[in-house]
Amino acid sequence: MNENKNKKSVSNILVSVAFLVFIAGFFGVSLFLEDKVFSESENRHLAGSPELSLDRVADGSFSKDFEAYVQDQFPERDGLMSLKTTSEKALGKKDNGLVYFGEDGYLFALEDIDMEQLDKNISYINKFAEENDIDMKIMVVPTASEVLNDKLPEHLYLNAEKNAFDAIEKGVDIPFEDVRDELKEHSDEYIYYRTDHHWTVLGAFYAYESISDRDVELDDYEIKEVSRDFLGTNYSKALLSTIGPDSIHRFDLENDKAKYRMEIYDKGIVTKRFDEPYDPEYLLQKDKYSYFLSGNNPVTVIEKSKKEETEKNTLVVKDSFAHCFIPFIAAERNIVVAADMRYYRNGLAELIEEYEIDEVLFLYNIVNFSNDRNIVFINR
Amino acid sequence: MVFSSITFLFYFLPVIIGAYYLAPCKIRNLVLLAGSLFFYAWGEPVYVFLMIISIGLNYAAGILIDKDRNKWILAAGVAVNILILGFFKYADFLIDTVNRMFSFELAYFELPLPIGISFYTFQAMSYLIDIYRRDVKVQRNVIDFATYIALFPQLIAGPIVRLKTIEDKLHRREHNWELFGSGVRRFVIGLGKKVLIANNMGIIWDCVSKGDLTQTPVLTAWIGIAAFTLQIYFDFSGYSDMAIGLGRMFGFEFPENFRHPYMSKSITEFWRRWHITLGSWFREYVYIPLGGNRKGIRVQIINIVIVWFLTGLWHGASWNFALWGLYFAVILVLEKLFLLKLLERIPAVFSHIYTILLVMVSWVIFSLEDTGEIIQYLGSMTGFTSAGFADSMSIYLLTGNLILFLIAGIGATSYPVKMMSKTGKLMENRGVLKGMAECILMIAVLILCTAFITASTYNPFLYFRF
Repeated sequence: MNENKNKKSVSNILVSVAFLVFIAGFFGVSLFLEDKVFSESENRHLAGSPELSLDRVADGSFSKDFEAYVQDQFPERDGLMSLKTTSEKALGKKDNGLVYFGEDGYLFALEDIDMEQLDKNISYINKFAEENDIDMKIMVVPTASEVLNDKLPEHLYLNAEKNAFDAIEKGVDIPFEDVRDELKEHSDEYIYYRTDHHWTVLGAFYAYESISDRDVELDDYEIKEVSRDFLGTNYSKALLSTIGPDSIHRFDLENDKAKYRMEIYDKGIVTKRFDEPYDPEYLLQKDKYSYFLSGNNPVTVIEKSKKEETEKNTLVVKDSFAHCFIPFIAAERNIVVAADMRYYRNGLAELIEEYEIDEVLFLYNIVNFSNDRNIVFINR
Repeated sequence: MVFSSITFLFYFLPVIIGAYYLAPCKIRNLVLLAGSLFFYAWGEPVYVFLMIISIGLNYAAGILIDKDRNKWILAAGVAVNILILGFFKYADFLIDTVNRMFSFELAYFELPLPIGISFYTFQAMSYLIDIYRRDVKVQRNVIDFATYIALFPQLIAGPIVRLKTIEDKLHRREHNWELFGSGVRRFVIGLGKKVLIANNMGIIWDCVSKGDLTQTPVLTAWIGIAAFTLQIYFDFSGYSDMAIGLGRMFGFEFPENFRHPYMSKSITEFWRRWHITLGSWFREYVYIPLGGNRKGIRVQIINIVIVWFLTGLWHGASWNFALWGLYFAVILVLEKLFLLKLLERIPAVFSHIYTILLVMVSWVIFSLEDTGEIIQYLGSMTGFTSAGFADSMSIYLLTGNLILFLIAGIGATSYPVKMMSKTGKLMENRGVLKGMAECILMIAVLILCTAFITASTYNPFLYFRF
């Protein structure tokens, strides 16, 4: 009897001690762990230790911030996130709430499209067209899940993006460059990154080919791989270790003798200068897509040193999808000014005057164009 | 603070367990009380004072009622509890109803609901009534009484514990590895039920219920409500498991709250297995005092309707909850009148199907607040929409979650528990081996839960660094 009880309590002691060691162990480790400010793999700032004050305790914001803090700073956070996605995949789930697990190692971001904001954004463009007498057109880039839909998980049917394109087609009063068909024709090529939501330079090239007045050929370009370990935003949403990294390429016109200068402006002041529309520093960081045009900036100006009478000055109002597209058109323009309305709020009139702009190109990804609340600033 | 959070699991819990076991026996209730007040104040820094006031009032009322069993003092004590609950939970609901009925424009209070108020006021009322009935001894030690009301394991989601079921433990409890170990097991099982199953089922339900309900095909509607059916069971019962487990870690034994309700063969049986402590509260303090089944079938029917109307409203201040309660009242009355006899005669599989279908329909009423949406959803389930039987999204949802549904479906039955206790018995004489196996399983569940809790806060704010 007594012996039996002993044997019974052995397993109870083991279970109890293991549990206590587990919870107290993480507690102890996290007490001594130094806080991380920035998560490279998630590409975002992590919550820091919350500020303690009576007001913040009383209104509950201290507790909320503390919870965010301990969650962000939890030991082995990346490993745990990866474990979550791996187990979801093992259970046969086809998405983890943030990305769909596609075929051929593709991850596709789950996106929401805000049709009301889209209607507003269309009306801002139309208002701009009405008030400005200048050549303009709009190009909206589809997402990878629209173009590579054969790589989506089976039976997944997404129609929000189609509806958004229909609304743009019907709604905008300026020429609309629909590049969906061109991209779909090349859907078996490497036109979208597997681990990032952006298109590749090759994808941008096909869009450029379809809207350019010139006779452009892929053979005219020298293609160079600048990175082979790019893990983009979709990877950050899954942290699936079985997904391999992407490569980033740059395309250079073979007989291009022009010299370029790229200047980044913030509030009218030059903050950075480059002699080509690329920023190699980003290739050493997580955010490698920012190699193109040095990432998101309020205003970016790319200028040829030798101006040609026949070439135009173009203003591109854009999001980051334009970044790998702009080098193509920069080769056939004297000046390309790129404005990002998320960071530049002064309206476009000023830029049009200052740089003697001949034409405006609105270049957005469909998701940003539908959801961005800053397009209103073009009319300021 | 919720149990399934990093703050609770890795900060609060190790500290409170350490403090509790390091403290001398005499002040352990005080440690628990301080911990419980901190636990509550963490999420409700202002309403913790409401709870303290409620504790003070009920403590005083208990002593007064005990003195000369004055009916009016009992009535006043119960009325104060109902008033507090009514004001904080139902005031805006009443105003809204009046505004709609008479097109008034009365202003709302817009107070956030104090978490757990429905649980602790119900416990307080049971205490006062039980003193009046001489079912339980009055508590003169205010620390002990406050510990009973505020005890953090069952404070925010039950079970509703009557003092008489834990009174001896409140004053004197034994602590041993056996009780602690069984508490740990129970807690980890509950955590897994909540984090790994309920939350994932919730994602499926959200996906279906937030879509365009007029365009929901039959199959999608059924997948959605099946997911909610499993979500609510694993969420509620997981929370109860965690409460019972935590209780044991501190030497308490709380009553069972869920006993595989989805295995019931009638709605009558379902309600004996679902949220048992709530059901017995209403039975003990409303149904039986109203006369129960002792005053003829007509009074009994009226009593059933009253009790289920109140049970419905207890779940939330909205008419769909009242409707949900009345829906069950009707079924229960029908079962009492003739259905139960019929259900006993037909093969068991049919009574199971009958029960689970009626329960699933009830969850439609429970989960959708708007009556139009409820009708729409029931329409989708029965094919009264233009959306057809299935679309590719239904197949996507089904194939992507099939394994999860299977695990949850089997987990909702009593078979896994039976299997576990069988294996446990086989290994009874090999304590070390059994302990090791259990440890590995437990740590695996804990790590997975931690992964799901940590990753769920992932904030996809990419490419914006300022």
